[in-house]
Amino acid sequence: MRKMTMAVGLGLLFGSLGMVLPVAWAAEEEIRIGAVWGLTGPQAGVSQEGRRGMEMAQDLLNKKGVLGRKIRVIFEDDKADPAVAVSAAEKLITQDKVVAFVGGVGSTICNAMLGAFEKYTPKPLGTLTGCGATTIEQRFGKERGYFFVHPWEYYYQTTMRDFLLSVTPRPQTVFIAHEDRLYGTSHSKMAEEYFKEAGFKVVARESFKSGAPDLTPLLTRAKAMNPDVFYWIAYGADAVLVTKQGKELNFNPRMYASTVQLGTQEYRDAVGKGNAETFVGITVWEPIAAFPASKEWPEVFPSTRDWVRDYTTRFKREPHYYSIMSYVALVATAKGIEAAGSLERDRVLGAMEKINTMTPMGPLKFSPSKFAVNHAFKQMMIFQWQKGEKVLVFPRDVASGMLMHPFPAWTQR
Amino acid sequence: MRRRVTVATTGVAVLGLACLGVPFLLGNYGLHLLVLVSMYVALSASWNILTLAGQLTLGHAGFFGVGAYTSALLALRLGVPFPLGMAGGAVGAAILAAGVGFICLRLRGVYLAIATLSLVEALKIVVLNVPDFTEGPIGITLSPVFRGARLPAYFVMLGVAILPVLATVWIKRSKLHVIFGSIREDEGAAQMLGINTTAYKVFAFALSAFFAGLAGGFYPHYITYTVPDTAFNIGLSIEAQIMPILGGLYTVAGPVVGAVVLTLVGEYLRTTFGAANLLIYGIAMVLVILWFPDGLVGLGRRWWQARVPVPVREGVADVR
Repeated sequence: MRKMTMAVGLGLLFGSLGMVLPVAWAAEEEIRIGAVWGLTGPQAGVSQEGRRGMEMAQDLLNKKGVLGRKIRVIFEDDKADPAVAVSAAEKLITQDKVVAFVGGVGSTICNAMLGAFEKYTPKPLGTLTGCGATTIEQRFGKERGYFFVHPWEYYYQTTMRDFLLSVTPRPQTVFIAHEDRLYGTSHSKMAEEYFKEAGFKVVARESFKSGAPDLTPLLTRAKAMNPDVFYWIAYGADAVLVTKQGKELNFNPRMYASTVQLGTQEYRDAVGKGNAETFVGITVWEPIAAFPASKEWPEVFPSTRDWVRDYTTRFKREPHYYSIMSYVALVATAKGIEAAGSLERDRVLGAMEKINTMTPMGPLKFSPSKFAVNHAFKQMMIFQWQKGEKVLVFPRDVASGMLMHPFPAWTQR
Repeated sequence: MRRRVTVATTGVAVLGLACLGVPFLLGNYGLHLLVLVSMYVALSASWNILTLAGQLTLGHAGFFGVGAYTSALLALRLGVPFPLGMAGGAVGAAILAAGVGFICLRLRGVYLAIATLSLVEALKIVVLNVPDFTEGPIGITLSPVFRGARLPAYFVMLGVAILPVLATVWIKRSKLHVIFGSIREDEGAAQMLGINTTAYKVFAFALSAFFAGLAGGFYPHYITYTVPDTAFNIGLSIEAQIMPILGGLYTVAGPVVGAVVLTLVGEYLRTTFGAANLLIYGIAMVLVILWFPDGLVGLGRRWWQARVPVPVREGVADVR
């Protein structure tokens, strides 16, 4: 019994030392950044894209170091569960002593995590990639220490509105379909509001259950209304179903339009050759964008073409917009630390507020949005599937090709 | 027998002191984990009450969600403070359970499980489709309870967790133990003996839902935000079921042990093994359930009995 007690005691002692000592030694040598992503669970795909972007940025920054020290990103899995996200954030703050948070995906997660930060004075610094909901902007946007790099929901819909206004001949009627959760509902409300303000007639706004096996009733109603634009806001699997069943029903609006989920290779392959042709979608960023290298920091912010080449060489896959967004977020935070010359929070955020440079994702400058103090990347783009490839068609200054309009009828393909 | 009682009393006293003392030594991270452990103790112990009466249900997430939304809406619409909101959530969940139970509890086994599983989905759809009242998919944002301080939040959730455990002790020491046991073993025979099985099953269902609703009532105030997908998350039903099975079904300590072990082991695996954590967690759970079908409490009991043999009196039925 005495031996057992001694063994347990020694085990606890060495176990505790094992946990504490490396932290104490390492703290002097590295700059720790916390990254909470849904690495398992429903957000795993996007989260792994974000992780890859941050790993690439970390390796590049560590070639020279920041303030003579290495950057170390500590990744935590939130399993897309708000309670677990809070666990991860509390651990990163209290045990790992991170300097800042970078990355993340999901507005529910973001709400819970930033909610947990409320009790800290000062609040942790964050360059946040996954907080696109307006509820987050309204609730946390006034905090100077939060730098938001994901476009707010309304930027999606103002971009789509401006795009539709630019189309000739101009569409008159729009049918809006949306999945019935936070994403679809929130976006569709804004779309309806902005479209009506711009003079479009919204003939209907209808919800459907995401992942439903059959959307024929919805599409039949839409077909009966004969809208110029059929605009749906949903997830990837729903996009596949809309395309396939739209073809089956021979539903021929002048334009099929959707949001970012329409832009994946998986979608194009799932609907089959040619079926995505002329469909348009909103995007935060595409690898075909052509932004030049940064004048200030060309070694970390090369041109889009060079960055995409490096990413593709390293990971053997095309980057997602979350890859580049998380890359830019981490580099911007590191550059803020470098410019501040210290890890002191207020100096770092002051330095980040002064960043004004080109990145492979576009111009980076934090400025106020409707409710937030620091927000970057307000401009979104519209792409169109043409001959199996994506072509940027709006806005004009980033366009890589001309819009094909109107949509050719299914029977004429 | 006396030695067994002494050991149990000492164990409870040590656990009680640990629950009250250890939190003062912990930081926000440790305290948050204890809040989660307490929440899962409440869920698993309340689900275990149903199993005492032999009912296999998957509707716990529904009662948790009703508690969460009732409490959140009372705060949002009427400014009701969270303790009253929690009580409202618990009562709301119990009333719903009594109503639904009266209909569903005529079903047995897997049919009951499917019916209660559907209940969770149905409740979620209702909340999603009355956005003018529930805020729908946008969700409800609340101010952090105790201004985000973890220590008082832990003590609230600890109180919530203790209640279903005490209820289980009460059931085991009252005549309900025999009634529930008879329903569990052979419902037809229990009816033949004149037991109103429907009434007792509805009672067990409502009591279980009350505690799940109470835990749910605290959750949105603690996390500060709730949406239908997280409040009516079917994963909660599964976890509420796995924890007592792993700890030891039909026992007082089983759900507590299961909740503590699974929450803390899950967190350890998450922080240690990255994306592989779920795989290891799943394999470990399958192995534990295969090797120790009467749970960790049963394993501990066997280990203890191997060292301190307890004389068995002949002629006494094991009613557990």
